[in-house]
Amino acid sequence: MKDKTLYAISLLFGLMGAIIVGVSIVAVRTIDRSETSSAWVNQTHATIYELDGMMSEFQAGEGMLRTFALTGEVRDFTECRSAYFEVLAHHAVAQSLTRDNPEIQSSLAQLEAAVQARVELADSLKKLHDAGRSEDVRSVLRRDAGTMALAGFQRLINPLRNRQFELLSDRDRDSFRQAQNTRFVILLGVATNLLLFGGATWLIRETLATRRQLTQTLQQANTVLEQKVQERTSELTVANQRLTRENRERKWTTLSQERQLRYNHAIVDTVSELVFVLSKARNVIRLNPVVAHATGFAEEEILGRPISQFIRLPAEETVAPAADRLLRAVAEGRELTSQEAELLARDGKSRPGIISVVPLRDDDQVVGAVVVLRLLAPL
Amino acid sequence: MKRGRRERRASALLVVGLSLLCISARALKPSDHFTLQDLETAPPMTPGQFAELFERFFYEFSPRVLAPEVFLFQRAGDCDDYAILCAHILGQKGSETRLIHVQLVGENVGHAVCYVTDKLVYLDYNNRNSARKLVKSRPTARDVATSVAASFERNWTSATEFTYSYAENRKRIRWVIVMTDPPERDADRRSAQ
Repeated sequence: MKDKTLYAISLLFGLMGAIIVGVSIVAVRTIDRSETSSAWVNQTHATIYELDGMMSEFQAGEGMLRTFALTGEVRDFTECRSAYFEVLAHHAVAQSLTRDNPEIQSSLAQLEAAVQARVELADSLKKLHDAGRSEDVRSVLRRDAGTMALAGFQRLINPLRNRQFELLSDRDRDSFRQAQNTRFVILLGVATNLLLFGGATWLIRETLATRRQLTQTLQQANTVLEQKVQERTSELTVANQRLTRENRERKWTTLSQERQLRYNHAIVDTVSELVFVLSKARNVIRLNPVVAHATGFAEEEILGRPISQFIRLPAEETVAPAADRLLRAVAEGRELTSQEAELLARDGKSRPGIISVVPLRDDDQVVGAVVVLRLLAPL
Repeated sequence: MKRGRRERRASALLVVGLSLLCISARALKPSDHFTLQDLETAPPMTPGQFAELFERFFYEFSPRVLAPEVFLFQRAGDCDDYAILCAHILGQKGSETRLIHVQLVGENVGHAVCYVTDKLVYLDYNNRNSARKLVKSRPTARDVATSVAASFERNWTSATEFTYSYAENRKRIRWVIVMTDPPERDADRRSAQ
């Protein structure tokens, strides 16, 4: 989600950048074209200026030619020639400015020829004047259709000027179209960029709102979690306290039980009669010290062995049935009280005594028995 | 022996002193009302020294090129008069010069300068009063035109290189450089190649 948003925003900004670069390139190109177009317009104006210069200087030359014919002043002749030379100077520039247009070049060539003819005419008049043939000067001038030359010159110049104005119109139209196109491209670029910018803003706002919401949810979850942790901690603290107390009590109980057991053992040990504790399998699992003393067996030799190996009921014919009776009573959980019995010692002798059997129970289950034998004769 | 050496040294110093006196006496100053002959007979001068002589001149437009005597006498003229006189005098003093007329955009707006090829500078009448009387430029007419047009903060349309002789009283066009042409097409470049 996050990566996609970043990707989308980057894409939008990349697109905006590309549009800005594109529009800038178009704008710069248009400026270049505009400069070129402006240069061409300037050149067209310059051509018109040169043509006008030719016309005006030609008129000045014609005027000074006639003035020279009337006055015969060398200064007027010089002015006349200077004016014609100025026409040629303007002509040279106009020729260069329009060198790619053969039609105009052809017309300019005609104009140049006309000016050269006028220069030759002026020179011939000067020669006549210097020769003192003033009448011939006036005669030549009368024959020369000066005004016609001027009109012819004007006829040649005018189409050239008109052509330049047409070019100006064409170039102005191109310039106008270029400006329109550029305006359209720039407006389109700006509008697209604004749209993309709006989209990017919306995307960023949405992302921020989502993130804010997520943060709030996370904070709420954290709060709940912290509450739960606190609750659990307090529960655990209580449980721990209880367990500690229970442990302490259990420890005390254990200690008490151990003490009680030691007392029990001490009590059993202090009994002067022979005490056997039997397991459910009728094996001896506990005895007091008198037993070892009376039988001559060590305590370790007696523990774990069947009781029948140490006690016999003498009223019966065999040891085994008597033992079986004892054992049956233990198994059935019955008591036997004041039964005659014999103690079998290590040396093979037997000692008479009175036996009592009390079964041991735990939850109504017989788990063993206690056999007490009181010897009839002292040891 | 010692006496002869001392005499020779004294005479050498005298010659040097007299020469310096002579030169300083012939050197022109901007305050002088000098003539064409004064300029022609003056000792060799640099373009800068020539330009300094005109710092007190005035501008006065004339449709035709003024005769140098008239220009110097009235101490007023236009760019054509100054550039043509500059080419005439510096040419005589051994410099290679070129006259370039730059046509600026707008009717009847043109400006002529004199380019000194060996120094790679041009002299402009408009700079006669400024500290920077010489303007550096590359030797093509296009570069000179661009520099001149920039000084007017204008665009140019054509640059015409011409020659002028006072005797003939006529401008002769060598070639015309058109601004919209590619520079490779410029006549001065092609002739240089």
